[in-house]
Amino acid sequence: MGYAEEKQLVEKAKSGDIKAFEQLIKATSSKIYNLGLKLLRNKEDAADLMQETYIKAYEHIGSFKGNSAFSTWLYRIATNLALMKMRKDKNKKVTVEQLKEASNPSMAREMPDWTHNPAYHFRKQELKDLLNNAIDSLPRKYKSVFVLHDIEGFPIAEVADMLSLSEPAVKTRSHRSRLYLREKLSEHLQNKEKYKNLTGIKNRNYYEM
Amino acid sequence: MKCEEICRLISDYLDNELDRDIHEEIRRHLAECEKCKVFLHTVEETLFFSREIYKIEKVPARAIERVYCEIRIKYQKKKGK
Repeated sequence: MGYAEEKQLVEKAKSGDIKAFEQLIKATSSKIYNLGLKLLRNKEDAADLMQETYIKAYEHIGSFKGNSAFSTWLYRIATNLALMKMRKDKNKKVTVEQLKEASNPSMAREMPDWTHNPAYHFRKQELKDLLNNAIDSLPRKYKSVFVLHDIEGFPIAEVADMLSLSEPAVKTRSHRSRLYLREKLSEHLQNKEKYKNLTGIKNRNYYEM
Repeated sequence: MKCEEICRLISDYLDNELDRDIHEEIRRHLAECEKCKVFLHTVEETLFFSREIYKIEKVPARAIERVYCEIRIKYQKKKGK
């Protein structure tokens, strides 16, 4: 949907045209549902989040000023509702101290280049699960920044606006999350290498790369 | 520029959030420093890989029906007022 069409539908929805609001739902529901899946990792919760987001949007559409795209406004509503739901998440989270440690300049650079490690290329499913769990273990305020900025691709300023944070706060959270996730991948791949050494399953190419 | 400074600024570098002269200084450092090059490469790869783990899933028909239904109820209530 183009910007002009969206703007027209928003205006109609504001004046009470339910068909226009339904068209806006149709155009944006996939984005909102998938954002919910990323933040909450559960289909039922993502569906609930989508429903709550549209109800809230319907009730407050009069206050939407059109300074951003309608979908961006929805993202803001959905993310803030998700953050409240994430409060109830009892899974163990990484501490801010651990995140700071991972981005400590004197430690962070001491990692080998695992991007040529064949385990990285051939064990992708295992690594995806590891990374998915590591993202999920980020404290909710870090995870929301990581998902919005690094996965959804919103610029720093928009993420700051959506989450009512300062831009430096968004940058810090994004930086720490990135280096923490990189550390998790690095550690795992280093352990794989150690394991191969111990068991003697030596693949010539593995060590030559 | 020291390697530790590169580490501190790497995210701003990747996001193009730095002043042009600092960005250039980092680019020159990266061209010469193997360790920092590895550092940049592994951060980039982590981000690339993170984006790969999420597939776009179809919205379940029942879930979207539920949304339409709730909005219709809200609409009727508003109209009735």
